[in-house]
Amino acid sequence: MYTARVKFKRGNEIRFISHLDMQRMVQRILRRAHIPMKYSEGFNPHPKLAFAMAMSVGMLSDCEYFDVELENHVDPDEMISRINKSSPEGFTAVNALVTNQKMQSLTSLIEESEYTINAKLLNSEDSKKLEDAVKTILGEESIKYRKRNKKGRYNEKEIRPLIKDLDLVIENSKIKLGMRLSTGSKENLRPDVVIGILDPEKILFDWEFGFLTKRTFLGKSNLRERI
Amino acid sequence: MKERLEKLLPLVETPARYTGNEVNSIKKSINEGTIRFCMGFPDVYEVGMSHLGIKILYSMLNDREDVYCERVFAPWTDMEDLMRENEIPLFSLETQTPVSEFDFVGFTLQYEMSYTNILNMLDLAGVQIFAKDRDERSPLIIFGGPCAYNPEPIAEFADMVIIGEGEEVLSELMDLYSTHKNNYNRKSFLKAAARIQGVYVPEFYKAEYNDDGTLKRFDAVEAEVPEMIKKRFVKDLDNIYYPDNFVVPYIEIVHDRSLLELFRGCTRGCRFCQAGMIYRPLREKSLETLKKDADALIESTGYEEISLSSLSTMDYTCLPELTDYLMEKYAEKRIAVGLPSLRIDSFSIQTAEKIQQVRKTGLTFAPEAGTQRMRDVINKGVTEEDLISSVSEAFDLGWGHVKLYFMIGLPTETMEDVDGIAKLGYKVLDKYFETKSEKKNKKIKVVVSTSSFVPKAFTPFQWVRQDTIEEITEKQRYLIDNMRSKMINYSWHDPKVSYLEGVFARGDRKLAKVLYSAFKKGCKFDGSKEHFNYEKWLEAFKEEGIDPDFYTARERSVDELFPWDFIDMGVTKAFLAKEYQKALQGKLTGFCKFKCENCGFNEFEEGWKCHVYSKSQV
Repeated sequence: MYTARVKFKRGNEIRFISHLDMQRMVQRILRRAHIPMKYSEGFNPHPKLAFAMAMSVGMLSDCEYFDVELENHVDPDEMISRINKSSPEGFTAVNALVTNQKMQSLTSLIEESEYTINAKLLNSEDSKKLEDAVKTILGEESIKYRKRNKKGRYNEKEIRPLIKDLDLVIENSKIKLGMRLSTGSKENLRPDVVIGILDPEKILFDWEFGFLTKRTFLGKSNLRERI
Repeated sequence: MKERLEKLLPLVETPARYTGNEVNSIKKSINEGTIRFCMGFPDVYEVGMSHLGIKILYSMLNDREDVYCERVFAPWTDMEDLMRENEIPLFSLETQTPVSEFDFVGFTLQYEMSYTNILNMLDLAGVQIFAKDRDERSPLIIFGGPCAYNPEPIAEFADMVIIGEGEEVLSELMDLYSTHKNNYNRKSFLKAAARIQGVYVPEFYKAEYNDDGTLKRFDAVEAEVPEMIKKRFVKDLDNIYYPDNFVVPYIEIVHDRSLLELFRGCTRGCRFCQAGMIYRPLREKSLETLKKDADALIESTGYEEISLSSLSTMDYTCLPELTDYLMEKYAEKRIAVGLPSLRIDSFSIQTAEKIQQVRKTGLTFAPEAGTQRMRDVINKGVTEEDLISSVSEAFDLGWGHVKLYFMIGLPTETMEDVDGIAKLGYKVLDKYFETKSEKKNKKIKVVVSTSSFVPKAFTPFQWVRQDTIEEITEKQRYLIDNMRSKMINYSWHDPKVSYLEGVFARGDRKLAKVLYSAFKKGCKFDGSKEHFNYEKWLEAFKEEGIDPDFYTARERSVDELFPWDFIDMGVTKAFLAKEYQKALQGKLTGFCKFKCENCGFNEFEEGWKCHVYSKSQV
């Protein structure tokens, strides 16, 4: 049995589709590309396809991953070129790794993501305020985030350790804000939460998910299988 | 436009409804000579994109170099509100061009309850709603589809209505338009178009009414336009355009699969069924054509299922050969073959068993009525024994999910016939418990679904009175009370919606003002529970001085002139009248695939004779 690990980009043309739609889209791309997918058994067989993480509707990404099980070996370069020929605009396969060895699952490997926001200051005099807000966060030892749980009660969560780095560049009221945050099944912090802490009253800058580009990083234990 | 739109998309539900750019959607360069056609479907993207006719015409028009056909669907209300707030007009999916800038805007009429959406879409596009208000700068608004066979309720909103199948007539219209485009005059174009067979230009005709509201006369008021509009149909389906690809949506649509059209027309002759009359004659595609179509669609879409789509799919002459071919070639690739509702016989169960190797789903049967007497009235040629032995065979083979479709409110129906539906539900359930097969499914679910009969134009029941809302409600209540088993799941339709559907199905031109008034009051998406507002509709009727009961509550006399009588759809009114009489006597009419029943089609058009099949061919 072979598994292909595929690295891909999600561009503007397809940023509005949901995670479920994304899974369906990739299945159809793979079928059009004649990739020999392995199917589950049973009354309703489906391809064995696994994504690293669900993406927010609207967000772009320079680096995402999925794994797919194959019936037989396929040359990775050949696979990438076939996928890209069968893909809609906005979906680009970058790299693939095909192996018959057991790989650690994507969900267990994923640890961090990097986000870049390109936005504009609402008021050009406010650059200092935003810079201070970034410094404040990085200077804090503890940040508690209050979140409503499914039962409607508030939970408090320590999120400072999940913020690995923030990096702000302001040029002529244009903001480029880089964030490195924990991602994955163990610890996860969404970029909009950090933005909410930086600018709780939404007076400093205007943004939406389309201004956000994500890069997913697989953890260090993945060195051997890095693609 | 694109930038303004991008700002709104994060705020709406399912934004991918509005972004286009799907696999196989068409991109073209546009120049001075390009004829721009916007194909509209008056419902949301998920519904519209599931419709085969739109797919065929979209691909066919784009196959022409001189035409660029784009798509537009009804925006859901959240998007509509934002568009109105931000003054964004209705736009096409492919190029985000305002719909008002197209040469043609087409709407398909699949369902009477989508009419308000058409008015709303025209309004959102900034196009004049009434045809009489349009000028040289307005796009030409064309309607087509099954409801266009009685175009009168929406006639005042249309510049042209296409009666019949669209492929050839749309091509001819495009040819004609290309000779008019550079020196375009609305009226002279419409006059020329009206001479194409199958094109109805409502403003060239006038209706006069009797004091009792019935139609007195219907005349052409423009010189050189035909008195009768003859429908169009494609004679040879093997030599007509069929798409080799479909647009593959990102979001899940209602019918999210490839659709293979096996044939057009149906010769079973069920008396309630409008499709069975208006889509005549029967024309089958050859096995070779279908193999080629199927291969191309599977290759180009990547869909995991291909559905064999026709009015009565099991009747296709080469069905065993076709399913064998598809299974042999695609089962290994886990591409499933789907069948819509099954014919009630052993052959159908065997076929379903064969093709559901890939993915096993439920079975759907349509006995349509609960007693033999009622089934004979509607000419549904099946017996209770057929149904019981079919479900029994299905249970033996391991199915546990069976859907049964019925109608209530059929002509001459009594409570005994309604009770027959409940009884049949239980008999099916009993068969499951009697099953001793090793393959017997551990789970059982019988879904009984009733729709409320709506008499339609061009059927043997076009004369009958429709059940009132109260009568239907009583029958539904009876079925709820008498099918209390947890293993039977009963579902039914809102009788108020069926009532309004009935008004427009046999309506006339007087209804245009009611539609307009209802639209002004905010009626839209009337087919959806969330938006249907019966009170607003009643207000609209009242304000316009129209009694909706006029259209539904009276038995029409045999010699009444109908608003749709100026359309010649091939089957004669005399045949329909004869069928109506036979219905009242409970007499059956045979399957005309084998023996002609003289519906009139053989005399309809020069060069056409229906093929008579011998039973050994099946």
